[in-house]
Amino acid sequence: MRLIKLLLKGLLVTVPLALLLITVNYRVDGSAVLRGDKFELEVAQAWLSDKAVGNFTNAINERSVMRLYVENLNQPLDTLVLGSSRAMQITAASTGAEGYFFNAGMTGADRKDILSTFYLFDRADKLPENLVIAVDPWIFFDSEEALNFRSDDNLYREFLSQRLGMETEYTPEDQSVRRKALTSPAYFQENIQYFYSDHSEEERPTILANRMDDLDEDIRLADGTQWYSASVRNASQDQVDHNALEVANVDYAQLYGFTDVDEELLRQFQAFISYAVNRGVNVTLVLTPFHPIYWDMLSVNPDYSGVQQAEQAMRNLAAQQGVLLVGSYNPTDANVSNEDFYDGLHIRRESICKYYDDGKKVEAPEPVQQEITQDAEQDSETERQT
Amino acid sequence: MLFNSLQFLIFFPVVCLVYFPLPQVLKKPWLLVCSYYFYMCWNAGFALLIAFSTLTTWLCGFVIEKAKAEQRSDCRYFPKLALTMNIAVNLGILFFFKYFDFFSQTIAGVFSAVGITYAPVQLGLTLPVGISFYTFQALGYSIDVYRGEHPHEKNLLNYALFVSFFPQLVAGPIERSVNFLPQLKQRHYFDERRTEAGVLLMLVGFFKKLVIADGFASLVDPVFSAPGNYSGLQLLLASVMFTLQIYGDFSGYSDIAIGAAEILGFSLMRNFDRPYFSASVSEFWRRWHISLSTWMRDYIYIPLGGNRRGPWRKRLNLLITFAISGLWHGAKWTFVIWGMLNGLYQCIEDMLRTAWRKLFHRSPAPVNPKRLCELPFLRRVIRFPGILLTFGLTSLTFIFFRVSTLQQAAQILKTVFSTPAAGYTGLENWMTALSGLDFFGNIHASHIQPGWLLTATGVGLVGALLVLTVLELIDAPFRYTKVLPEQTDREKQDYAIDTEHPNLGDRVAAWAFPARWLMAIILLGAILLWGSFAPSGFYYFQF
Repeated sequence: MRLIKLLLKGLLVTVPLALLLITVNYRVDGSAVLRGDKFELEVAQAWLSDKAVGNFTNAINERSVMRLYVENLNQPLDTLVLGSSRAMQITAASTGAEGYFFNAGMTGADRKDILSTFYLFDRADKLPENLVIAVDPWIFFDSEEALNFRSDDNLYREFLSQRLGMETEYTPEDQSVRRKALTSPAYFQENIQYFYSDHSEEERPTILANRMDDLDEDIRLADGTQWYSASVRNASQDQVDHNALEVANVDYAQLYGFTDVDEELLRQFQAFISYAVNRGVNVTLVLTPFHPIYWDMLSVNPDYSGVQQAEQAMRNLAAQQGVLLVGSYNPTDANVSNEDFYDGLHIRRESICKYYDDGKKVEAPEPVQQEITQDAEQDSETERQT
Repeated sequence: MLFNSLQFLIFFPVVCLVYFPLPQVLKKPWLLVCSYYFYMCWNAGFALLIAFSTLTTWLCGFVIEKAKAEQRSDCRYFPKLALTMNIAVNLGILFFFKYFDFFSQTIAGVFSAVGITYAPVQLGLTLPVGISFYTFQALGYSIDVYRGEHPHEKNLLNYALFVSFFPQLVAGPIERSVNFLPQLKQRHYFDERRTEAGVLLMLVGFFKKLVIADGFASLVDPVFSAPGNYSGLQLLLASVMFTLQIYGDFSGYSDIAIGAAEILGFSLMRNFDRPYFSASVSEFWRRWHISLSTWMRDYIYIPLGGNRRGPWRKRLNLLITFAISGLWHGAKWTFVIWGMLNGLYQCIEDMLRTAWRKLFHRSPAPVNPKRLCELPFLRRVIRFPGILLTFGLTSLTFIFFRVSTLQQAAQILKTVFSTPAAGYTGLENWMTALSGLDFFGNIHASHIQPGWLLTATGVGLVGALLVLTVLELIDAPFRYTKVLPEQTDREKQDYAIDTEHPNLGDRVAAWAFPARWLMAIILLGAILLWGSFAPSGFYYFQF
């Protein structure tokens, strides 16, 4: 009895402080260990509650946003779009998708981003019914330049290892970090300091109820797509073409020196598509066209010959896996012209239907026979069997 | 296993939860097992050293008592011989592990000075944690038995536990057989009040260690690792901060040790008595590391003749005792000089006191200054400058305690004393100096935010010092009370020793529950807000 009395007294002292500790650590979470990055969480929550986000600066980590989005997603999506900023104009309307649609395009997304974002949904058992992958050619370019420093290499490796059965090293995510952070007194001190520190210079995203056409800043809409600022949307054709010329005249880092499709990266992508198909996901590959001025350079310069190889490889893959492929890097093949672009790289949202055929997907053309490595064939065969 | 580790926070409750329900006959074996486990967490092999020291000292006690009891003429040298052998064995082990390299280097240095150079033999052994503490405890026991101040403990289990009792095993207090061994013969029960007192004292200890000691250490350590980069004012501030750090560290350890022992039903001797309120260096040494000071007094100073052989011999004895005390702390000349400086201060004080006494003992003046100074009010007023002076002297002396080499100490003192007075005055100088010591963290004065008031290192430390001052005042003699709450007779008997000299935990435990609750919340809150949670050892573990 005396022991119980003493324990109760002890609890009376420790419980209030423990509650304070846990509450502060969880609510403030200055290092974004427990709830994710503060602003990123705001963005994810805004999207989930069907709101647009303004002031979406580079300070916001889109990879973190996606993690938090998936974590807080209550139901699987009907349609998910993966890709770089060149995919960010793909809307439910342009794909003819119905139901719950989300565009998870990221600025400068590389191959790791595509695979790891898919893995986020897969790991959370929230795979979409339809998957639209806007395939940029640089995802088959084995160069550091074709990678984004923000992409999650460990998550990508985990996907390769855990889902595609490819031998690669990764560090399993340590869930105990969260538990430790929740009860850590050192983290409590850090959080108190963070809570009272000066946040006036932080670039906070603004949550918007509507699209706000007049706002002269880029907005990420509730479906994840990018709504360019008025100045970009209303740029004159001269400005757009000038920009395309500039892009064509500088050695665009992500593609420069891309002379051959990397066989290993292609094999990974094939295995990924095969895995997605086997999981019952309807996959559509989208080849977003480049601005005609830029394409003129890409198509003739041998330093970029990998771009056309990548398109051919995707056509072969689509045929092999029986998935749909729409569009082309070549603007002529995609039925678009100079007027259909915001700049040298990004197609206008309303022009996507020109090659997406207003929601009616264009069947992949007859495949051109091209050698696919024996390994890749075997891999996809194995995947199919599994 | 450090007191300030998660391991100990699990270990100690487990020890208690098993200990109290056990039958009395199993309590001591359990504590012995736990004590050895506690020690073996550092280095399992070194537990053999403790076991060896325990066995030899116990056998020595046995031989001494046996020889004394027989009173045969052919055995009259046996006790002295046994004692000498025991001292030789224990000090031999201590010398081998702690002092061999130091003396080997010193001798080589002496030879080198006369032109004979050779490479000194260096063993480079790891120092067993707490060896100086348990060796002195064992030596104290055998001397007590030899002197007849305490009978030989016939139960080896009791004696082994006396040497290795885990709360005080690695950094004291250096217990005396007279105080501790009788407690091992008593029955120990769970006592709610005593447990509360122990927990509160442990909390005070954790506060001193995690907030005061580790907080100041984060400011002080960079200064002492590169003193050449700092100004005179910064070096002076760092030495003052180190003085506070070492107190927080060591008295914090002692509080945790005494509190833990108290929960288990044992009263360890008080090791600190608000030493920085001392008005003289000799008073400081009566209130700082009391268990070592009294050990030195009883086993070195008094056998040397103490104050019985005239004033000059007394001063020489003081110097010798404090030089040994310095050497006990560490095998370095810096520690020896630190000890000797403390001895020297006391010699000077003794001379001044003698002169004062001679001057005013039979003063013909109408108002005798000596008697005037004994008036209670004036006594307190006069103490204040004494306290400041003693603190200043102690801080300067602690420079030798903290530095790695004598050259470093000389460099610091040279910078401190060669800085012009203007370098120590002016708000701007102080702000620059404190800022250079990272006192304000990375926050500039122009960006002061409310959080700064709560979390900046320096502000936290100032707040913590205020809490510490309140704790010291609570512990002050004028709040002394012998009144303890009602207890059963048996508990009173077990608790009797504490009733004579209640420590801070006992005093707070006697308060009403809301006050105790508030105290615990304040201490835990301060630890939570300002404590350092990076793993850090206790300073005295190196001794």
